[in-house]
Amino acid sequence: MLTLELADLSKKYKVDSWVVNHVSATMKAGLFTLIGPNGAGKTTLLRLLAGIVEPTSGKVLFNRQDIHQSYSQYKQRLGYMPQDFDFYPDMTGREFLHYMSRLKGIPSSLYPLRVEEVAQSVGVAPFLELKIGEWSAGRRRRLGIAQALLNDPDILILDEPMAGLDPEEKVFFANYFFRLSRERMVIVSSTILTDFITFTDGVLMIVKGKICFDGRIQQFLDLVDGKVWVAPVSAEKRHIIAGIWAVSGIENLDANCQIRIVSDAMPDIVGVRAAAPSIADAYTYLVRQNDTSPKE
Amino acid sequence: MNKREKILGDIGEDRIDSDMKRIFDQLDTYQIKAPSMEATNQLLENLKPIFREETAGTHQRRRFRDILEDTRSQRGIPVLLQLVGAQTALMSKGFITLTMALVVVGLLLANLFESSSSKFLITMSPFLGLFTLFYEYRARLYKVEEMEGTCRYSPVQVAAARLLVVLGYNVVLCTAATVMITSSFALVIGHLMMNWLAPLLLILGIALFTSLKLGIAGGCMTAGVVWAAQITLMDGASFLHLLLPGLTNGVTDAVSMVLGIGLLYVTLRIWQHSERWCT
Amino acid sequence: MQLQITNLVKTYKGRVTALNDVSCSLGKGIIAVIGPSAAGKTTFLKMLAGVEEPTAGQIYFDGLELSQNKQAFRLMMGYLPQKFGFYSNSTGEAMLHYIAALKGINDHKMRQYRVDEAMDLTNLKEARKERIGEYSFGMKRRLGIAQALLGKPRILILDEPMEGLDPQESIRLGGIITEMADQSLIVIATHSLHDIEFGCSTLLILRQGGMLYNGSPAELVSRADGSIWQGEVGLQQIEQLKATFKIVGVQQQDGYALVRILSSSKPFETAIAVKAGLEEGYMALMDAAEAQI
Repeated sequence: MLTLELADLSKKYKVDSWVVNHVSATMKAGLFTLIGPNGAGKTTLLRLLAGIVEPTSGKVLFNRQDIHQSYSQYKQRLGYMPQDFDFYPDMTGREFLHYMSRLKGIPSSLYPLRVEEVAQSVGVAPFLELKIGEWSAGRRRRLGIAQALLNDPDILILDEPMAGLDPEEKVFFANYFFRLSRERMVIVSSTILTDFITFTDGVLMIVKGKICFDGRIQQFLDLVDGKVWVAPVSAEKRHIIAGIWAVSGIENLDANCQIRIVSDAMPDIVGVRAAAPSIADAYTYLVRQNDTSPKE
Repeated sequence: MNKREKILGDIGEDRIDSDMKRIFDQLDTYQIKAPSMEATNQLLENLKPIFREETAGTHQRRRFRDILEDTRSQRGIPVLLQLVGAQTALMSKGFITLTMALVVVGLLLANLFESSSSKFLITMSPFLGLFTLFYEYRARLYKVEEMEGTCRYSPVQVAAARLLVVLGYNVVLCTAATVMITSSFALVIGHLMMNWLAPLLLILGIALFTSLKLGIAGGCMTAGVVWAAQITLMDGASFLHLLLPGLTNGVTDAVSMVLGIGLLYVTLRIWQHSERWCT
Repeated sequence: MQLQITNLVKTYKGRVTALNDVSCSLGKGIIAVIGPSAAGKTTFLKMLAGVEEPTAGQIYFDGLELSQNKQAFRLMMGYLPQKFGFYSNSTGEAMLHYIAALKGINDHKMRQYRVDEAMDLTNLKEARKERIGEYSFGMKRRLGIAQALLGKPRILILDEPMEGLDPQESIRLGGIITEMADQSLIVIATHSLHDIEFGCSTLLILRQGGMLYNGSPAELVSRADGSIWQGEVGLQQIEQLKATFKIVGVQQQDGYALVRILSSSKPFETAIAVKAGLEEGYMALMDAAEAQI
């Protein structure tokens, strides 16, 4: 049984600036996606879960135990991939994974094979002998995922793992993380809504440091049932409309520009009609509701 | 027999020797009946459970995590050694070549212009210290730090191990250089070592300690200023001579060394308690 | 306004061929360059921007050849690289002034005008005097766009402009780019087809250095007609299906799941053929290309 409980977690860096504001949630084995606007606190929250940042108040409980009570033991069961990372450029892929294996305390009798195994499953095996300085961005991203998997963690925390991956890689990894999550807890964050969202067991949405949604996708979509509208617009009108209504998408595939609006009441635009809710709609709705600061 | 020869011929092994031929001929004389239907069925029944376990194998195959758990009982020295080993593997060839080149070229130059190559070592060792500073921050500069942060060892342990490894390397390098200059007098070697080890540790200590507040550049500058002042004002001797005149070089070196080590220790302690990721 | 690219080739260190004989003719509007990792997108853009020299091939803009007229090109072009660095201690305004000067806008008044214009377009006017270090990620990205917009270039080259932006910021940026598209030729390289939903006229799909597709998005979508199937399956069936087919979307409902599958033939009884989305069209194309090897 794996449980990760966030108990009234808060974190502030500067006076009166709460990056994470009294967050409570419970997660079990499965795939959880953390979404929210940039600057909402996703990365800080994930760092708190990984334990590399200590909370100002509140606790993170793994299987009912405070992770900071026995942090080194927690770390042994943890795999973490940060949002912003890079590598020592003159190391080869294999050297790096060997180095990380040693740092993770994997004995030298076990890690060479483990590195091969992980590299294979993530798809970087053919480049292991090349210096990382020569790797493309997408492959470096994969390497970042690989290092998190080395110790076969029970808790996998990945901050924006899909950033920089092309659509095919995204489908591959979405499937991969889903499979991993059948036996583990996999927590990922994403700014792009379409990435995992169909595979995820739970969605956690954070705006301005507070959780504004915690549940399943269907519930997420139900939030905006009957509140999504689509209307054709011209280029000039677009600005005006975006100023008044919450726009959740603009589609312009075959020279007709369609704008998606989320609103409690039907907007009075010529040609408007109701539409079935999508993830982007629910997301936009919640951001509008919870983000009361003026636009940048 | 014909059949056997044919088979062996097919695989190119027909040139068997006469002994083997006799054995095969003997074996041919042993006859057994072909198995009955019942016997075959019985065999299949016996094999079925094994086959079933094979397909279910993916669930029962041990997860790497469990294999790893078994090795967790290791504690203490071997674990720390692994960390040090990892940091040693990390040492970049660039760093090593650069520092070696620095020492060799410096020694040659010192020899050419003034015969006190020992003075060169003393003056140059803080440079090594500054290089070490940059090296220490490599993980931050290359953004590997956060990934290293969730490994088994704490970030401080990693930093300390890195520091130890590089310091160790510096010591070896400088000792080798010392030996090259004063290959005869063991006593002088000891003295000389103190002479460069002390400023190395002191400068490094100052650099790392001030870098906590002032950043890498700030740490470098502060250490650089102290070192430059020491060279120009004191002609290489320690500032301690100003405070307590009458001390021998040996004592000031020892004090510098202790001070340097102390600063390094305090820096590591502060590191342990500081917030490393502030946004 | 016509950008003519003929037989463009780029090899690195004599071994790695990043681009292999790429040719196309591009006009005003938004051109999206899509492709998997290491397909050559960034290399392609770098060559259009004049940042790197092609090993072979030519690039012409309205008859003017790029390699011979670098200076002239630089004045009519704006480029946003994938990784945009800046001085965190500088203010947004100061940074733009600096880049404007680099672009050759020497007259101070003109520079101020251009900087104001760029900041206006990217909604950074309020933050002009703030340190870039304090900017949010979206703002930094917009600053990158602003520097590319300095001087209202006729050609705008953006390498992954949406990377790391959240949905709101993406939409906003899409709006800015669409506005510019009326008078300029905009080339955007991106991983995600979702990014260009706001509208692009031409789609260039690169794969392993070669051009796989050059046409409109609508055409790409129609190519996948008959290849996308949707149906309801039990949750257990998903694993089975995954083994044989390429699942491009799963929506879990209570007790069952709605799956979308990419397949040339009907994957299971109750599946019905549906209209492909843009990303699915792209995947169908990639699949076909791979099958050809």
